[in-house]
Amino acid sequence: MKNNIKIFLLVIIYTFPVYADEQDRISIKTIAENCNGCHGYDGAGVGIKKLYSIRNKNYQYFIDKMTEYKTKKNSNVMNRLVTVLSKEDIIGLANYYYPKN
Amino acid sequence: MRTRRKFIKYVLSGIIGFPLLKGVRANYKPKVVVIGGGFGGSTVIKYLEKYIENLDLILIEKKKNFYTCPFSNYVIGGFRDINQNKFSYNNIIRRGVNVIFDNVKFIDSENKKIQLNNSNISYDWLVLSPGIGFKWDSIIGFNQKNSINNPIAWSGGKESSILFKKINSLEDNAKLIIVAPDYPYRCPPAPYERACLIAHFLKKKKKKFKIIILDKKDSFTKKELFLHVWKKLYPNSIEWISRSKGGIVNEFNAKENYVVLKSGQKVFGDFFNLIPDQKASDLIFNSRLSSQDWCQINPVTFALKNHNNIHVVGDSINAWDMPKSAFSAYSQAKICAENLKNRIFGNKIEQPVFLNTCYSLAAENYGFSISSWYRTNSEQNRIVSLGSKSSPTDASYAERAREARESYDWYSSITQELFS
Ligand SMILES: Cc1cc2nc3c(=O)[nH]c(=O)nc-3n(C[C@H](O)[C@H](O)[C@H](O)COP(=O)(O)OP(=O)(O)OC[C@H]3O[C@@H](n4cnc5c(N)ncnc54)[C@H](O)[C@@H]3O)c2cc1C
Ligand code: HEC
Repeated sequence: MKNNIKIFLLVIIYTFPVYADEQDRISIKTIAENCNGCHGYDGAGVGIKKLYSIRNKNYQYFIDKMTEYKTKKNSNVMNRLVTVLSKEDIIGLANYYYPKN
Repeated sequence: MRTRRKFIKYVLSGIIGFPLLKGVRANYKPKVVVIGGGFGGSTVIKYLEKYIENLDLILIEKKKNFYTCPFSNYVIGGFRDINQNKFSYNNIIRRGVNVIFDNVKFIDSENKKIQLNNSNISYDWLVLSPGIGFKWDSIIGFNQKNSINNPIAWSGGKESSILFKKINSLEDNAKLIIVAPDYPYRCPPAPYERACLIAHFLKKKKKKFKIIILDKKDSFTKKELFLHVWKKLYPNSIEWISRSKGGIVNEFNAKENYVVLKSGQKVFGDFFNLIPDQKASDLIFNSRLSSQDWCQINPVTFALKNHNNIHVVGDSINAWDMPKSAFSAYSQAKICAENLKNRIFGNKIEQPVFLNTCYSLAAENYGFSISSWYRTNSEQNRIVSLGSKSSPTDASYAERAREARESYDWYSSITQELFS
């Protein structure tokens, strides 16, 4: 029964907690792999139409869109997912999906 | 305190103290066997293929086709064909994975051997994602035999179609009983989504009916949303009886069509969907890999406690705050594949972060979801939620329709990624 209650005890933390040890840092790739659960393998979209691709725009579009999800009130699933991401995370993700070179 | 310290030590040993390390050479071709080609296992396969070039990769799966549990409630709700939930392993075979269709009987972890029906297979590393098993003693009188006529439909597949046929043949004023299990169980919102979609179907057929959910719990996931939606879409048709209001069911009488509550009261019905309490897959206990209901794993590497060369993901594990879902299994499996590679080659272990999003439909075009990110606590001995967020209760019909569509997009994304 105790275990059950825990599921409802939600720890409200608004960004990924950074622990004291530098070793504990989570990598941007690890975050991105979770995004790809909806955005397809490598974030390249779903099916032939590449629906939901997050690789087919550009760096700035990505940052603007993510910032919009974070600041604008909307009932989109993206609004709920970005709450834990810091500004640095968003920039990191933009660099990950749109590597410069 | 002692055991806690021991556990931390065990967690750390999974990360640092890897004995094979010195022997790993550049041309080393590890033999990795994955048991269970469901959501967890297929994801591990996909990402081991991606991460390790020189690999002897074997998948052992007992069924020729995989029927997803996600969207099986849509079949029960009468708006999805069961064949749309069916995936073959042909593409995984085409990608070069050695797929063996067989039922694993026993895992001999000491000798790193897997016993199949008529043969044995050895491994260097083993990954398990065999799903759930049922606690058949949780409802007296409900057993594997009479569950054939009253399918649980908790493993995808044909059972969902049988349930649908039963619902389709119900007369007017039918009384339907759903028995919801205690935590932890596969897909927390599924019993309540199922109630909605049965109601959706019967309402469309213009039938009068009553669905009674007898629950072992006092709360459930997305409860506020579900209660709100029941009132809005199916007024007076779905009744939820919580644990403290007497919802615990002790017994089932299949011959006379009633269940007996803890209070002794009989509740008669025209349709029963009894969902027993759950535990890890039978394979885990047959192989004596866990003394508890769920596998105890290292939350960073997914190494099984006391069995260093075996990793476990998905519904079979105790994942602390993470619910048992396909999304969770997928998220865990990616970290497992990454850190298994790191263990094999002696690389730095990656810090995990996990995500889950569970969509539920309350009608064909009426969806909502709950999401949460997870990571390990600072002691790295458990997975903790960073806070769940669900769709607002006051969303418009258009927004609900959009989320329903998005659930289909998620489904095609994950199934295409894994099975194509
Ligand atoms: C009604 C319902 C609706 C759901 N909806 C959703 C949803 O919308 N979203 C979501 O994220 N999750 C959903 N889930 C949960 C999801 O189905 C599970 O959490 C997920 O399947 C877990 O993955 P797994 O790999 O642990 O197990 P599974 O996907 O069940 O895979 C286990 C595999 O192992 C094989 N196997 C088992 N034992 C052996 C053996 N001895 N030898 C060989 N092979 C073996 C099985 O045949 C199976 O293919 C739902 C579940 C239900 C019941
Ligand atoms: C549960 C599924 C899901 C997950 C997980 C998810 N997304 Fe999304 N994402 C969506 C949906 C649905 C949309 C479309 C929303 C809309 O209409 O604005 C979207 C839209 C986007 C867009 C805008 C795309 C465009 O072309 O306008 C970006 C960028 C994006 N997501 C990035 C991410 C990143 C980065 C992550 C991980 C941190 C992530 N998503 C995780 C479902 C998801």
